[in-house]
Amino acid sequence: MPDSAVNVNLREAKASIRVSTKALVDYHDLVSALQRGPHVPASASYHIVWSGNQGTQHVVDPVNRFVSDVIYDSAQMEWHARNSIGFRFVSDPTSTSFSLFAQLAHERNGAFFSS
Amino acid sequence: MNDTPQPSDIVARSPVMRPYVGHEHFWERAFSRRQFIGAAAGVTGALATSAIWFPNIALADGVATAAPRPIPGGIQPFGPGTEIFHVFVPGKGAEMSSIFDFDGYLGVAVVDGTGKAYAPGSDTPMPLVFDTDMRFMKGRYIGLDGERHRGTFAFI
Repeated sequence: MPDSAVNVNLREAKASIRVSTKALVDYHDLVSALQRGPHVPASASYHIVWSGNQGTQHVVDPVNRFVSDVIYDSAQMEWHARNSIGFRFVSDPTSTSFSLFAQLAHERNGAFFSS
Repeated sequence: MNDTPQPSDIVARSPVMRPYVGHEHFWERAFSRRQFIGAAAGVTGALATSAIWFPNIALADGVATAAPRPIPGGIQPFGPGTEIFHVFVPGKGAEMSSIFDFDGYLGVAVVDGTGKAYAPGSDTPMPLVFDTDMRFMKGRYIGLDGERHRGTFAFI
């Protein structure tokens, strides 16, 4: 995806990502995917929006070498996908989805880590 | 004997990820509802997980010019000594990036919802729910080539 697919405005705790017809493979289920089992070509498009500010956290983890300024917020999405054998999935509109966990952050890790 | 990971195993058996008490819902559900959609014609209430579509844990986009370095840690869903997947379960205070030597914006969305599936050759909708763990990483990074780059990556 091009950089323009992702828009972030941390000051307003907002972001979005829009991906169109991304080539993927369909492993049928997660276990199969983790085992790199049988799969077929597929493609997916999705749109996710983040908004709201439900709290912030400054995380410093010297063990895993990352520092992150986090905004916990809410996200919603819609997506559709299809595979090469003709199976299709179309989600209901964005407004019908519900957020279980969402965050936006600015993070530095590894060589960019400093506490 | 069944060697297939059970729902509770996916997180509990992962020694690498133990430092975090993450949001386990997605991963537990993803493993427990593996009766997915493709061959489930006529079945309702199945689950569409985004992970079934995933190409890689960290999906490099077509613009990034060098592969990023994965984070050192991660989960071992199949137990000690097995492959490490360089990602942590979502949770407050956890490392949410799947790439290392990274400086930039990061977004995580664990989102559930509903939708409709269509079996091959059919226009008859089957109601399904979905359960996703979606992320992006956008910024500068040091690639496996040792050079600095800018890029945008997605975890789906």
